Amino acid sequence: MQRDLVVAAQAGDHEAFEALAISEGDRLFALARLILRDVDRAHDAVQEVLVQAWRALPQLRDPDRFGAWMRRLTVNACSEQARREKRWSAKLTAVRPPEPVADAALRVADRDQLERGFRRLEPEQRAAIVLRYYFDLTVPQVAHELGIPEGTAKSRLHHAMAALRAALDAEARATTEPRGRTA
Amino acid sequence: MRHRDDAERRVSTWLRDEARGELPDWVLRETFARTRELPQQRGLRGWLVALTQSTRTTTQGRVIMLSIPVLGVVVAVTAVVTAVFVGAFAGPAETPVTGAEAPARTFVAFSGKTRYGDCVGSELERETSPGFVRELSTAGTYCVNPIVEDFGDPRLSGEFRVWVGGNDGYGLGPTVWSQRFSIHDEQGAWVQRPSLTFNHADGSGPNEVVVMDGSGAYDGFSLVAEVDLFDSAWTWRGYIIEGDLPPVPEVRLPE
Repeated sequence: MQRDLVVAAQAGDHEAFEALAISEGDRLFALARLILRDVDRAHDAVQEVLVQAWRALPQLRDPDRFGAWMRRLTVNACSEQARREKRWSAKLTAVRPPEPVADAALRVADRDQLERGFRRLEPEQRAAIVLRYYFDLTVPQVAHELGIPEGTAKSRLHHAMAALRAALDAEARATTEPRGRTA
Repeated sequence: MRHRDDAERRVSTWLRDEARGELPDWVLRETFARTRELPQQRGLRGWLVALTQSTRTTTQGRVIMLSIPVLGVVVAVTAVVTAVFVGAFAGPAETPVTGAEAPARTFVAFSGKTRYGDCVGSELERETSPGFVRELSTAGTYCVNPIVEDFGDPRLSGEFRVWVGGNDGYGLGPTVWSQRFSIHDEQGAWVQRPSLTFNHADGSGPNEVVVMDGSGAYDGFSLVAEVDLFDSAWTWRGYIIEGDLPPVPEVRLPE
C-alpha cells in the first residue's frame, strides 16, 4: 500500500504524497523533537524535510525504503539546523508530552538527568541514540541510516550511552549520599 | 540478540515518553501549500523512476541495461518528415577541409528532444553491492508517450536505450552515474562511449557531452552532442559526423 503511494508520488501525484506525509508525519516529528529538543524547531525541520522529500522523491531508488529515507532526511535536517546555529540552544523549555504519563520505572530525577545528559550530546550522537533506542534499529541499521560505517555507529552509540549512564549514575549518587554533615 | 541493560531500558523508556505528541495539522497544511507549488526534481534518476513504475530486486546479473522502447508511430512520422526536411535542406552537408591531405569530412547538425512519458508497466531488476547499485530493465517497459520527441534526423529515430549504473545516494548527496545511451533501429545503432555523469545533491544534473559511435548502416559515422538534462525534457544539440572522430592525443603528465 505504502509502496504504491510512494511510486505514485514519485510520478508527481500530490495526493499520494500528502497521504504519505500524513502517515509519516508523527514519527518524523517525534524524531526531530527528540534530536532538537525544541518543538518549534522540530516543526520547521519536519516541514523542510517534507518539502525536500517531495522535491527529491523521484531520486529515491527503492520505494520500499521510503520510511528509512525519510528518517535519514530528518536526521540530516536536524544536524543541519545544529550546524547553522553553531551551538545548541540553552533554552530550558524542555519538550514535554502534552499529557505526561508518569512511568513508574522512571523517576522524575532520572528524567531530569537524562534530559541534561542528552542535551550535552552532539546532535549526531542524539540521532544515533534515538534511532537505536526509540526506533529499535540494529547497529548496522543505525549505521546505514546515518550513512556512516558500522564501527563509527558503534563508537557513537558507546560514547553517547556512556554519557547518559554517567548522568544517571550521578543522580543515583546524589540521592544516596548524605545531604549535609555536621561537625 | 543482546538484552538491554538497565540504563538502556531507562533511556528507551524516557525517549518513548518524550516522543509523545502529534505533528500539528497546520504544519502539514503549510507544507502541502508549498509542495503543491513546487515541481519535483528529476535528474536521470527521476527520469528512470518515471519510466519504471515497479521495481524488483535480484541478486544476480552483471549487465547494466535500461531499455526504453520508443513508440513507433509518432517517431516514424517524425522520421519521415525529418527525412524529407533533411534531404531537401540539410544534406549533403558542409564539407570543412582541414588541410590539403586531410580527408573530407561531412557533418550534419541535428537537434531535438527526448522526454519520458507515462509508463504503463515495466520491471526493473536491481543488483546491489556495497556502494553501487546496478539496474537492469527487463523487456516490457512501455511508455505511453514517445521518448524521442524529435531528433531532426531519421538516423536517430530508433529505440532509445539507457544503460546506467550509479551509487546509491538516496537523494541526499551527489549521485555518480556510469551511463551509456544507445539508439537502435533495423539498420544499425548508435552507442555512446562510456561516460560518467552525476546528479547534484538537489537532484539536478549537469549538461552532458555525449559521444556515440555508429554501427551497421551507420558504421563509419560518429555523433557528438550537448545534452541539457533539464527536468523531464532533455534537449539535444549536436552533429553526425562522417568518419571517426579525431583520435584523442595521449596526455603526457610531467615526470
